[in-house]
Amino acid sequence: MNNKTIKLMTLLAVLSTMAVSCQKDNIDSAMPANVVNNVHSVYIYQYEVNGVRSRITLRSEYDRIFFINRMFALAEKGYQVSFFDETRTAQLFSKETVVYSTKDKNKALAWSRNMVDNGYEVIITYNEETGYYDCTAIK
Amino acid sequence: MKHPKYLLPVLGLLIVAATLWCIRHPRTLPENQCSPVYQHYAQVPGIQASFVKDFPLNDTLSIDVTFLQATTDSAWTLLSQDFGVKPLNNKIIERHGKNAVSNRLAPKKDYSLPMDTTCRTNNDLLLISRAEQIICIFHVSSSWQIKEIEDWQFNAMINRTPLKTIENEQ
Repeated sequence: MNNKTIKLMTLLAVLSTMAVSCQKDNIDSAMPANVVNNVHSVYIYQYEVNGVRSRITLRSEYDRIFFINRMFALAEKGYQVSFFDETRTAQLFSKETVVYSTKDKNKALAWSRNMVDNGYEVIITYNEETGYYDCTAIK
Repeated sequence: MKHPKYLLPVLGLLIVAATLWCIRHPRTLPENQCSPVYQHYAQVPGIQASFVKDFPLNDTLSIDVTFLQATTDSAWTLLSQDFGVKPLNNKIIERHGKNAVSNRLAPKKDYSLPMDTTCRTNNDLLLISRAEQIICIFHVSSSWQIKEIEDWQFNAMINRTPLKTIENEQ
């Protein structure tokens, strides 16, 4: 084996090490290049700090993250903090619930797929005592 | 010219060391190759974010998964708002137990919105565990993938496989 071959093999070994052990956070900046493109570009938050209630309009995703980080920082210091996005709170409570039960696994699966395809959130559990697949879909 | 006697053993050691290094430090992705939702939540305090590239769902399908777990109640409130997670009423909890896992399709552009009905693949599939404060996002690109995940998730639900096994299998 000549010198050239040995040098080449050494170089290949080093390169292969570098190629498969690239670390996650060695070159990227603090703020990600791709931020989730959120449809809601304006947020209105209600927040309460030690019983004092306020309201704030946040006009970008960066403002929202900054605000949330500030709230967490206050909580860590011992302040009593709560906050919510008032533009979305109205959507939080379910208005429609559909239930279904069957002993047939395939029917339960088909029902689940159908409900998910129609925009429902589906929960299925198997009741070992009764042998039924209990299914609930909520919207 | 003859090479020194020690060169081959040193080279062999180097190759063995490199191999061991690769085994102990499996490849991790640069952050810009992870999903946008992972990048978004990786910096939010109280949220443990993971991204699994090509999670092996079964013999024929591997899929990208983002795994978010809230470690505080405030962080869970935030995730619930961002992903449109509704509280379960007592009747549902009675029927399914507090550890129930649910699934739904949500638009890729904004997970808090109802499913985008114009095109199924405009959505990702979310798995939600309120008890464990976990949201799993399966980044789908075809109807077939949605079907396979639903089958897999149905069996996981029936067998009550904890969502944390997804993170452990990366």
